[in-house]
Amino acid sequence: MTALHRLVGEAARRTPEAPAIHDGTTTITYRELDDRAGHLAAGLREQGIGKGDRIVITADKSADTIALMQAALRVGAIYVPVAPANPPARVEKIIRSARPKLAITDSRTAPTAGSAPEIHEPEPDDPAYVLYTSGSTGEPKGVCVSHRNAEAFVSWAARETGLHRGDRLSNHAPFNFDLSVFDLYGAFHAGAAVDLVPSDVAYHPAELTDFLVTRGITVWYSVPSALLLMMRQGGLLHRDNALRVCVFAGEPFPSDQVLELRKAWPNTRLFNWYGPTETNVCTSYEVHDVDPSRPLPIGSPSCGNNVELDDGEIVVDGPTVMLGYWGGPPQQGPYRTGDLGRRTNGVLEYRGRRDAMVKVRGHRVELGEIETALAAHPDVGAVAVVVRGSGLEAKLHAVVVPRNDKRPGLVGLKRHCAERLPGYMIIDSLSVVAELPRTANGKTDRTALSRGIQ
Amino acid sequence: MSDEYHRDVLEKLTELVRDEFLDGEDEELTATTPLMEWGILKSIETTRLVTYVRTEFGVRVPPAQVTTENFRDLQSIAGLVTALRG
Repeated sequence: MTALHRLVGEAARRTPEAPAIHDGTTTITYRELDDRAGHLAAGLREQGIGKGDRIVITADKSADTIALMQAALRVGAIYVPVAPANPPARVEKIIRSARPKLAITDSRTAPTAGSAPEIHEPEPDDPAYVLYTSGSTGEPKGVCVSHRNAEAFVSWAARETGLHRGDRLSNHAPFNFDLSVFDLYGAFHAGAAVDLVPSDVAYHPAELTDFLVTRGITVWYSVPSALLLMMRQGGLLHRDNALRVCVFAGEPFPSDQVLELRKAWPNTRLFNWYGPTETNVCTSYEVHDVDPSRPLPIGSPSCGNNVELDDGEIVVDGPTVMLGYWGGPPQQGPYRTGDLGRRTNGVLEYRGRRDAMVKVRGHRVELGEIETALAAHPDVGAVAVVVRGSGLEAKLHAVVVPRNDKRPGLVGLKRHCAERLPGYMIIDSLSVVAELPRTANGKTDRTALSRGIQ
Repeated sequence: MSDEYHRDVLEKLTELVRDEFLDGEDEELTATTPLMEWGILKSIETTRLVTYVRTEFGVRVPPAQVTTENFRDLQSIAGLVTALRG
């Protein structure tokens, strides 16, 4: 197994002229990427940056930004990618937490120097990068990922999806979102190319579909929201494509729409991956047959992890469990995800967040369960269920994006719930919207939804 | 006379259910929509409806008559109100 920071160098030796990164109209080869990373590493060294120092990178996605991340690892530093779309106040909080030696907003202006320094050899448990996620308190939490963590995931993922040097991977996620770890390092591991989706079209259905189709993407990985958008509004299922593998993760994919994908693409391997940033991908499910009446399984443990249910909560132990939160105590033992799971026919199903368990009319209600039921309605494209009011006044409110031209109605959805759920889980009210609000990472923004209707 | 009364009650009850319990939506709401089964009438809504019947039509529904059978749908509620008016 090749260490994380040596993947690019190795690929450059094997296939120097092979494309490493496609970035719009620019393509850079492995040799060019390796050289660029070397010069940047020399520049970082000259600035006195070395083992354990943090570099916060708030630059746009680009080949230069990726080279800078590689350079950081080569000098033993820890990189902290932050999407430039973040509000300044949040970036400030991250900088206060990470205390970086260097913060870079434009990777073209990063320091360079002549000769590449010797590549730093990290210990397996040294941190490689820190990904900040939103904490429930509003303070961003830095998930600290070691070389061992990342390598365990990357080599498993490359094997699972059969990556090879002829592949062209898409990169949809921003670099601070762990989905990007597969796109970048999976490609480098295989000597394949990664094609960067410009962040400004990340949620434009037509442009995104064009990107996937015309650039000959063979391996796609994104949140279901992006795929659903392309399916519903971008005509994705009616265009030919070169996709060999399509992976989704980050939120539940309604099973009836996975079935649509399965039928439209009989020869594309489909995977549903699951795992919070703290564990990266810890379970995987390859989709063959789809039962539209059940949630899509999240599958069985991946990356050598051990995944157990403790009182319904998904608990993960193994090589991809993070070192801990930056500035906090080290993670000791298994990681409790706060997600609820269930084993059905030997595979895991995701049942929603533990804290999404709310009390309505005296009953414990799992919002994810109502969402799964509603998502199976033929007129529902996407749905989020939130609680409106509190105590005795607490009511279940559904926010729904129509699947096609037909606007779903409250009576019809109540009926749909009544046929599938206990009476106390029937929704009370409904709003129909064109799109669900999304977080910076493209997941449904529940906080905004519950705030919006209070 | 009774037919007209029944129609009037049905119309007003439909309006109440639509405006107060369904956010003003009336698609799919008919005289035979199963109100209890689909969770449109729960205990709070049922109480509200009984109060409405008393103030609007001057008809008192005895608690023993508040059954899932009598409150199954708008048609049966209107029938109950018409019958109770005597």
